[in-house]
Amino acid sequence: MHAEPSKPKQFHALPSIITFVSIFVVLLLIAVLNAPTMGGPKVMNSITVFFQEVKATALPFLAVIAVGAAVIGLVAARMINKVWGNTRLRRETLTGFAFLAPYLLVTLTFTIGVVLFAFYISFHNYDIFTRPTWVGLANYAEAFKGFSDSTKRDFLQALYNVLWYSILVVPIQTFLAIQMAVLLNKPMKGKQIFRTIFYAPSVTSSVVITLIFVWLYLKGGYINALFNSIWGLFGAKWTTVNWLGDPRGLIQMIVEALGGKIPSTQWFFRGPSIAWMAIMVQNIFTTVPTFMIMFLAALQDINPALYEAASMEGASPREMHSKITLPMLKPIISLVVVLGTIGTLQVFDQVYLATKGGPLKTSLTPVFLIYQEALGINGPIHMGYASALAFILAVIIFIFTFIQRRGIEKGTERY
Amino acid sequence: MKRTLTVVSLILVLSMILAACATPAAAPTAAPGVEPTKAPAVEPTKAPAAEPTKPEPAAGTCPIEVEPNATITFSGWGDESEQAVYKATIERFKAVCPTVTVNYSPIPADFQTKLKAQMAGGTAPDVFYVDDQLMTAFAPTEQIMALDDFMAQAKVTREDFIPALMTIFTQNGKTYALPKDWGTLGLVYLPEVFKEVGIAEPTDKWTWEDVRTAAKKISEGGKYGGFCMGADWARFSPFATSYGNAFVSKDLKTATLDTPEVLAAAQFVADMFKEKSLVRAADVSASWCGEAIGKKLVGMTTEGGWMVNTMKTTFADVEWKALPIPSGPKNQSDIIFTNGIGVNASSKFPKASAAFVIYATGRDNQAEIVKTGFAYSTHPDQADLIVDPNDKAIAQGGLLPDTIVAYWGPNTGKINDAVSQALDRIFLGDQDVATAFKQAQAEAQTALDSK
Amino acid sequence: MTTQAEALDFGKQANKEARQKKTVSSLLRYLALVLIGLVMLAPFILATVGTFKTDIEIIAFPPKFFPATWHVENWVKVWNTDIGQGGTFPRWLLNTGFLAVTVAFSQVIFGSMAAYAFARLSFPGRDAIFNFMLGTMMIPGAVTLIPAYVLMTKLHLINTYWSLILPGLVGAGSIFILTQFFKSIPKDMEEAAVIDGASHLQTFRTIILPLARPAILTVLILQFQSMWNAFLQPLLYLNSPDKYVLNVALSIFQQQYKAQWNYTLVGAMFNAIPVLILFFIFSRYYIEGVAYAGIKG
Repeated sequence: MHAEPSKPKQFHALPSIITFVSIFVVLLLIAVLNAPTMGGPKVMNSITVFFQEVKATALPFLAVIAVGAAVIGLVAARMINKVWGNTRLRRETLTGFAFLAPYLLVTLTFTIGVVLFAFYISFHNYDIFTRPTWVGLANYAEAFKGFSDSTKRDFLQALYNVLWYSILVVPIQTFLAIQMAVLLNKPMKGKQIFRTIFYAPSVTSSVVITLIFVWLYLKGGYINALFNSIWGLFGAKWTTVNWLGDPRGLIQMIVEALGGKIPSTQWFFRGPSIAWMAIMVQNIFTTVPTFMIMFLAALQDINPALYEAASMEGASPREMHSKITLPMLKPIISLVVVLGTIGTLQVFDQVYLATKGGPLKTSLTPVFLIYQEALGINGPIHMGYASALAFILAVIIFIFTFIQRRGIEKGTERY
Repeated sequence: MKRTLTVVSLILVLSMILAACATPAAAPTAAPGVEPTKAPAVEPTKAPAAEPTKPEPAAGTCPIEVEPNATITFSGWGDESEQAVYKATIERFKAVCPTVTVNYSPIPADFQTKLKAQMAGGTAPDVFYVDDQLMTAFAPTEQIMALDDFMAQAKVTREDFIPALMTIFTQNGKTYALPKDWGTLGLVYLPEVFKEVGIAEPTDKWTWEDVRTAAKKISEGGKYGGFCMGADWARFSPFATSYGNAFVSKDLKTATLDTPEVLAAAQFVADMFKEKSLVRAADVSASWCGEAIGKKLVGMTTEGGWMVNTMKTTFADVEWKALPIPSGPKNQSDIIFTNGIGVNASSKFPKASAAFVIYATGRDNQAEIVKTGFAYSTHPDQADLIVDPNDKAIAQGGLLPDTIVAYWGPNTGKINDAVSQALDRIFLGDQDVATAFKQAQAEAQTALDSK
Repeated sequence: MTTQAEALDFGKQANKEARQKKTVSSLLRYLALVLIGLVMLAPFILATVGTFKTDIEIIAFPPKFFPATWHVENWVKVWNTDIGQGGTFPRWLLNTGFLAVTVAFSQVIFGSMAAYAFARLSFPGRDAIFNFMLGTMMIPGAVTLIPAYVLMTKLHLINTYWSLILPGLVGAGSIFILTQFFKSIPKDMEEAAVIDGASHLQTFRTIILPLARPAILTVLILQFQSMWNAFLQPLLYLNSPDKYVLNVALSIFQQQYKAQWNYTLVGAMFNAIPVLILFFIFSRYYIEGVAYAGIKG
């Protein structure tokens, strides 16, 4: 059997070069747009001054991107070269990229370019109105200075807060979502209506929900009134709580009820504050319905024959739930847990609207801190530092979700 | 798909119709003046529905020579009463500098953030309010103009203004904004509470000790709280300064929160809280101490000129009186909240902009503003123009020689927060005075040392 | 030894007990559902009733459920709010609606184009780009927030609608949903068209798009909702009162009417009601969309 002679590799000069050049130019243009320079009216209102500034501060940035652009350009040129000979493949490739072009342009400019800018800036001190100055890893180090200097512990405290948030909210919202989905899963009258009503809180914006809850949480609000009436049923008196202004931590209150005291220097033993937990409740309220819907859909995919077989073997509902339902839901549970974690580690809206980080910084979150530092809300603008914090947060989120995915996948291996 | 489109277009059409028909409205009433938030970026006293006054026949000439056909934009914060005041200012300015057109575009919320955004993007207005946050953001890099040359041309000097007010707006000896108004705290009390408890009403010679004694007597009755105060750096500042020290040294390099004077003042406040002669607003179920007075829940508190409007609009039938701030062992001193107006360094019409700033903060205009009851004049010699007697009494605090503006440089907010949080921890019983202020001192020093 | 009659009786009895058990358990279930439903709706109900109260009633403690008189004028007053420079409720409603609709449709158009490329076309680099797209979904918003803002200032897009529309033209989420759906459409339909010589564009327009109605509706609704409820970007990018979206206006409201909750809640209701109405009309699509996104995720 003779081997087919391979087709001679042709070099299509024009298309390859055009591809390379156009991709290189576009990427470089996006880079220049995103180039880290000083801001302010003098720079923004004159192209010449802008380019001067680019020359002054953004050349390393552009150089690195140029290299990347060249590589991508080469890869693209090679690919075009490969498909150019084959008319069908050529047509499909060109159509494919034409269809993808809007997405690629938008993402490259507004996501990738921006992320690269943020990364570059995180190694600088940048307050917008002066040129960025290189500081290496100083911003990253600064974030963790709280370990040695307790006056610089804002970021650590923010991380502490969202970790508690994640640990409490994710399991609770997953559990509640599953329970509600199971409850709704039986065929019955009005199922649609209940489903719709349950989902309503997730539909409105976080601003609306937060405002309503701030009002409900007032010292003279409905939540206190509710507790008042419940306590009243047992003849006890309820002291109204200023929910969103109470900095006492969960563990701290337990310890104090038992007669102990956690000194203020060991604030990290105190647990989430009442205010913070109040925000958690509000958040769970809005996220459970969304996850409930996902679980409902997954439940409907489970073959009812499984349940029939199990019940004939005498399995109790409880056993069926834990041995059939839960394992079959594992992929959705995994998704919900991962989405939940990503969401809880980035809490911002509620803090901005309700507590602004208080009381006593017990509701401070990394994203809120980033916002404060980047816009100079409580001091000078520290955009470099804010970018570093953002990347640290990104890494933490990535690690968390990676571990979670692994952990849940391991659990499903049995099946 | 079609259905979606129809519904969506219906909504769009409906909203457009509504937009066309919406009556240009009766603006809703302003919120009661809440106590000042951290930065001196605080609203001064609110006017009882100020009418834009008719422009006076050109009493003066334009402060400085301006560019021909200048058009400038002017931006600030504030509710309708404040906006009315500045609309009137613009009218008066037009009479004096007729060739300048001023476009007023107030930004009611998130002013500092928006202005920084605009400045970064090169679209900031020519003239705008400047508070400590914006001074920090713009002055070091000269995004706002130094006004000294223009002031010289207009024959205006720094000494024309109340000295304490100029501290925020000065950098390297140069003036970057001129103060547009200011507020301060005074002792506010309810005569009927004093009558009921049977003690003499406060006088303007009172000390904090007198306040404490009276508050104790009032609270013993069980019906009223004695003296209302929150864990608030602004309310604490008069205590500290009257005991002899401010939060930060005069050279703005060292925090002074662990000095004996400040600690003594803090201990005084802590003792008052412990013996329950001092209560927080939340302790009497009010959202701020002004409301506690209006609802007759406490006998005394320290509040500012905004009480005039609050009491008039929300608690009209409650009789109240105000006196200058009480004195402490070392002196009688108060805290001042102020904001200024500055000029964008990239303004195309710097002279016209400077002229507006100088006019708006000048004696003629300030006198008009005082007459509306909106704010106090920034010129010390105009203090007697204040109409309301309570307002006048409160304002006295601002003219005292040891009165300060709580401005400590770029990180003022953090330092003030450290003080508020220390007080919070003391009130919670979490830390004693020494520990709380030791922590505040460390935090404040870190803030001072950082860039 | 039980007779047949007794056995029958026994059976009937067992059935009856089983049915009673079932009735009791389904009664309990209904009870639980109703309770949960009330809890879910409680904030909205309380807030809506609250909007008719006076500003003293609304923070009175202990709170009475019903207002003494129903102050409908609260709604009128808030609707007529004018904070100057064109900042009025109808305007904000229009802005929010305009942005939400524009972004929703644009995401469908450009997203389905990209999805078609991923699902139907085969070319080198396709999978790499798809994975790249999935990767971008993992980038937390905090990282891009402020630098995107700086970029917008450079492009002089601050305070224009473009600052929200351009980045929102197309996104990974929509593309993902649409791709998965396209993949599930059987290829026979297009094969006929291809044989007839239709170009990809024609196939895309005439065959795939009509078939993808459910996914398109899902994307429309999810993107509409996402843009309607967006807060941080509009807060930073849209600065003048005539450009505010409802969320931003609402947060200003909160600052302006600090203690007057009755007005603030009216503002909140104005924000929530359009979305809730849309939701109740299209609830089936909303819910199926979320479910769909969840399954495929």
